[in-house]
Amino acid sequence: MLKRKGGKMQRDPRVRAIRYHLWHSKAMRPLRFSRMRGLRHWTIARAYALFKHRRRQALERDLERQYTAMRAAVEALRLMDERGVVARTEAERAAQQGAGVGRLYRIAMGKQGVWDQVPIEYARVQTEFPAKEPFNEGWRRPRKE
Amino acid sequence: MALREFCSRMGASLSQDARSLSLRPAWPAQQQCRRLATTAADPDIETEASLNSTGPDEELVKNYDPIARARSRRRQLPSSRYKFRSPRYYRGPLHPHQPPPPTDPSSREFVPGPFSLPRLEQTWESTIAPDLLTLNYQHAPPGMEIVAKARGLRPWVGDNPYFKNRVPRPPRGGMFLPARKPITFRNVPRLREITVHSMVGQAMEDSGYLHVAGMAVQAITNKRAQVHEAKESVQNWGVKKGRPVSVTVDLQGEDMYHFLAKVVEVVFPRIRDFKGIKGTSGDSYGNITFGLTPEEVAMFPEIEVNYDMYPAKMIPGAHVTIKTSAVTDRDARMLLRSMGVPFYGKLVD
Repeated sequence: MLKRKGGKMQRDPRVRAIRYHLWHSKAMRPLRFSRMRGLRHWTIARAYALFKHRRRQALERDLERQYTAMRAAVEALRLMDERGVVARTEAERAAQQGAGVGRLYRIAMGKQGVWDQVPIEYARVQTEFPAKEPFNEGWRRPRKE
Repeated sequence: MALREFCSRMGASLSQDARSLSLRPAWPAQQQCRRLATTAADPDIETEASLNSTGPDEELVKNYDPIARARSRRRQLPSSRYKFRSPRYYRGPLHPHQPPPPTDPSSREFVPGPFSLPRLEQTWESTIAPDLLTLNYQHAPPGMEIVAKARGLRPWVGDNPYFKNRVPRPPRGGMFLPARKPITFRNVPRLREITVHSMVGQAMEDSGYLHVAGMAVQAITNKRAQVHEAKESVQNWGVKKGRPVSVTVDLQGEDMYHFLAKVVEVVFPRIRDFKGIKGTSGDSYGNITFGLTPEEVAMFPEIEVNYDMYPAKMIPGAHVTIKTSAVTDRDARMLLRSMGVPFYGKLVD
């Protein structure tokens, strides 16, 4: 910010302070470890990397388990007739007739409304502590005009 | 030192002689140099023990000033400790001086951390990922494979009978959009990177604007801002080529989640008449951008608590680009929506 006062350029002291702290940042110097400290650091870093890897694998395995379960369930729906009997073999499958075969499967696979976005009231991040008002029972979605 | 040099020189000359005369020396050169107790001492070597010798005289001790001596040095002496310095440039796999791996603290690429476990990341892992997986599930009966086609291909339209079954034309501009594969447990969309960008046109007249912008962006993102120069001159905006005009920050990992959580939970709810992000935003590769005005940037808690530090007129606006691992905008929008980012208007996929 430039101000002209008596023919002299005067700068904003806040800008000067910001400049000072940009150039004189309190960044830590790079870590330099001796042999034992380096080894200790290496051990901890390796252990943590291993822990993260296992955690990520567990998460992925969990997702995979959910996916396979979902797939098995939908496949059962597909092979189900109106009486709720699931065809186990090709012969049973060929014997099934009528519009009721796989009806629930067709309903389950319909994607109507899925792409209308996740409702904003469900999009809440987990928090460390409960809110003052844990759940607002009286909340209703405001009507669209 | 002198003794060793003498020995080596003598050994070299002896071996040379031996080669020229095709003779072997009678005894090895090393042996010849060993000083026996009876032979005369070298004048360089002190015969007396140092403990018996008298110390420096009083005047020298009195006048000795180590601090002034150290100050008068033009360059500091290296510290006595061994300090490994990673090479600045990588000179290839055959070079003897190899940099340490990036996980090593002595590496130049080492990034310490993570220091926290972002709640948004935890939410993604525990809630959002299974939800998106279930919502997007597409069933392929056994033996059937869902083929992902490249997007944006243009079919041949016309009366020509040969147009039938002809290979479609590539997209305009020659840009092939990546095919959208069905979402499985392996490719649930997630956040990859967030870029915060702030272009300050006034920086042409006064560099203070750029510095304030850099400080503000650094404050809200917890990362050092990078300055960029203008690539072209633009007459209307007063931008000159080669002059610094903008600051950016690329956020990954921990910082990224913290930043998005702040935007969603602190900034968005406080914006007056906030509708959300435009539904047309997105580059059709799964990256979504929105803008924040200077007033909205000032709502970040880091700036708000220290608002007096910044000249109010110089607080910059910012563009925030959220890069996701989704390949279509629709998937990216679904991910962001499940994290609490609302969208309004026509949604363009």
